[in-house]
Amino acid sequence: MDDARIVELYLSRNESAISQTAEKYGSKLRRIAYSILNNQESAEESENDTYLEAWNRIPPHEPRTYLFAFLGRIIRHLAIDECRRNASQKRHALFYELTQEMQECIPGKSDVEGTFAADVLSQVIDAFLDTCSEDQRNVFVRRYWFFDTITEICKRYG
Amino acid sequence: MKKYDLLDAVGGIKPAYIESADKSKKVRKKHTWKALVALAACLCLVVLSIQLLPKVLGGRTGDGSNAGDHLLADGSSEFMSYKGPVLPLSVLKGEDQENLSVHRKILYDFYLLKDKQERDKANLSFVQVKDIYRVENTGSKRTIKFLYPFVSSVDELFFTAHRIIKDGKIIESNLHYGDFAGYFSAAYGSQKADETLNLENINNWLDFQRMLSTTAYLEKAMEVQQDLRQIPVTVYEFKDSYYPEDRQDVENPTLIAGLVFDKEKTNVLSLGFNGFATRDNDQKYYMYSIPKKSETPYIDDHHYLIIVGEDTSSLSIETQSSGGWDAYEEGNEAKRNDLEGAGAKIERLEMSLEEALDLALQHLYELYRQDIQSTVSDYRSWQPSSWEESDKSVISYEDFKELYVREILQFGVLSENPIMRYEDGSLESFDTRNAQRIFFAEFELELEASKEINLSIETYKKGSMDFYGKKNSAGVYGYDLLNHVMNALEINSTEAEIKDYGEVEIIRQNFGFDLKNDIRTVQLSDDISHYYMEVMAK
Repeated sequence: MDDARIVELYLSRNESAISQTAEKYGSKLRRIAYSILNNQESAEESENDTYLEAWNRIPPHEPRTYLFAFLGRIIRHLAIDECRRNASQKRHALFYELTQEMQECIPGKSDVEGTFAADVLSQVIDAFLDTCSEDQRNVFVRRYWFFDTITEICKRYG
Repeated sequence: MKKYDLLDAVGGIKPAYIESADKSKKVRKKHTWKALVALAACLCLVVLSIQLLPKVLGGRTGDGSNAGDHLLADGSSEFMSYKGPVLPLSVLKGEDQENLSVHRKILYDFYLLKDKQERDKANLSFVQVKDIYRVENTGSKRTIKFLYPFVSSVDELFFTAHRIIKDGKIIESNLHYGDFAGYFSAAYGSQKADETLNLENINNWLDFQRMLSTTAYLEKAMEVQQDLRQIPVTVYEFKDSYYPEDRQDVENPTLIAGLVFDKEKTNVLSLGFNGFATRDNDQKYYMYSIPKKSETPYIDDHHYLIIVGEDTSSLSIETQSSGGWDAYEEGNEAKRNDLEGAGAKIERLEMSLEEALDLALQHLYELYRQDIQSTVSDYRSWQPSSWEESDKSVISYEDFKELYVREILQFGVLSENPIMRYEDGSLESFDTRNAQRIFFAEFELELEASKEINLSIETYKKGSMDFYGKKNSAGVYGYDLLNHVMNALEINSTEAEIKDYGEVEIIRQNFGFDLKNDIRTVQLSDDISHYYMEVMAK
């Protein structure tokens, strides 16, 4: 079922919206959550929290052409929030590696004074990606949004 | 700025960039469309969502006050993730229960709630259960063989395996493994009722009661394994895989083995292959990635094709610079076999199926052992005493192998009715570790004449739960028990107790606990087969 039709199901409050979403995107969403949480049960819980969030956010949102991105954003945020709450929880090795990579991108002290709003940071990253070629952008997104390993990225792009 | 902030902010980039990266050129590994559907569908979640979603989202069932809950006839909920009831102590068939007086007490201890600083709703999801029996032998001295059944998976044994304590001393038991307790179903959306692609666990107590209402399930668990030493096989072993050192530009060197055989006369099991295809007039292909120097090779770069029946009439080896089956599409022949100087050390061996499975399963056993060690470490903050003191966190290799063999013969390509889910013959695809089943701990007790013993059977249990919906947002977990199964020990009286530390609210039950009025110990009736409680944090 295409995204527009699934979104229509949400808008008409048809319960099959979630089962259609799960069928189409469930495994991809779980993979994202597992890459962060390193725990199958937590990943499943995040997935299901995502469906609830989607149900509550559509409407007013109508992600007819970007449903997966919409869901992925939710599950990434939920899983990363879980990490913030449970600092002692063991992380997926790749997620830890990526946070360290990101850490190296922040100049000076590791805790900069003041907190940037997440949407402001997203805009800054968007501005950076605007300057990249399509290939570079795809690799960046596969690495830091999808949490692909380097091997997976290479397999994808030959 | 914390290190998570940047990664979190990446989540908010333009959807167009995400969609573009998602759809960007993929290298696909070939599976049948059926296997792809099976992989894509959540094991329980999608199928159960068809059944439960209308009710969960305030739909068409219930009496209004329970809108959104799926209730069974006795008022208990049917959970999306059902962990199975506590089952009663039983005796082996034919054991003499005359002149025994037995009093039982079941204690549910929400021990994780003791420390208020650390409690959160997740701590209701785990409970310690003590099933305590006071057994008085009013007859002559005798020895009785007992069985303690419990619901679990192999992977969860590190916390479900029971400690059996007689008068303060731990006694040893032998574990028997029941078959997978659920069934296989069609992929979501499929109209073909005879498809067997998805794994479905049991999700209500009635099915467990039905399974244990006869001795058939237990007898199967105690069956002697078929002797596989009499079955000859041919094994192709691949190891020491290589590709040219000066080809560092090759990102995914891949080896593909092609077999030609008659499906009526030959079956193939495999280990260490992750791509499967049928091409070129029914030729079968098996693919794996050649490990690079910087990578830790999967199972030490050992790969096996185990041929049961007639050997292949030809084994072809091709190597290519990328994974996927694109090169096997018409018009892409130039990409096929394009990596010169790559390959593996390949040896053809003849042996019994028993020996061949030993070759392969030892690798899977090592992976299992490492996974469980890692998981035990993750759960360390929840355990009141070290699980690592017990040898029961991992099963023995012999038991591990016996389970795999049983499932290969029952569900795999060697079965008379193979399950579609395992049609590729890959040993890694079996659900032996994660499938829910009933285990039986067998032990013997010597009962002195006119004496009483105290037997405490202790374990930890995860609560049954819904993944989403009203119950999920309320953090509700279900715990239940069955009073009667075939050959259960005859009980004179049963008591139940809850230790809630003032932090639990019971939203549905038939135990009779009244926490507000400090009634935490109740008598249970023998007339009621199933007791349940569904709890949430206050």
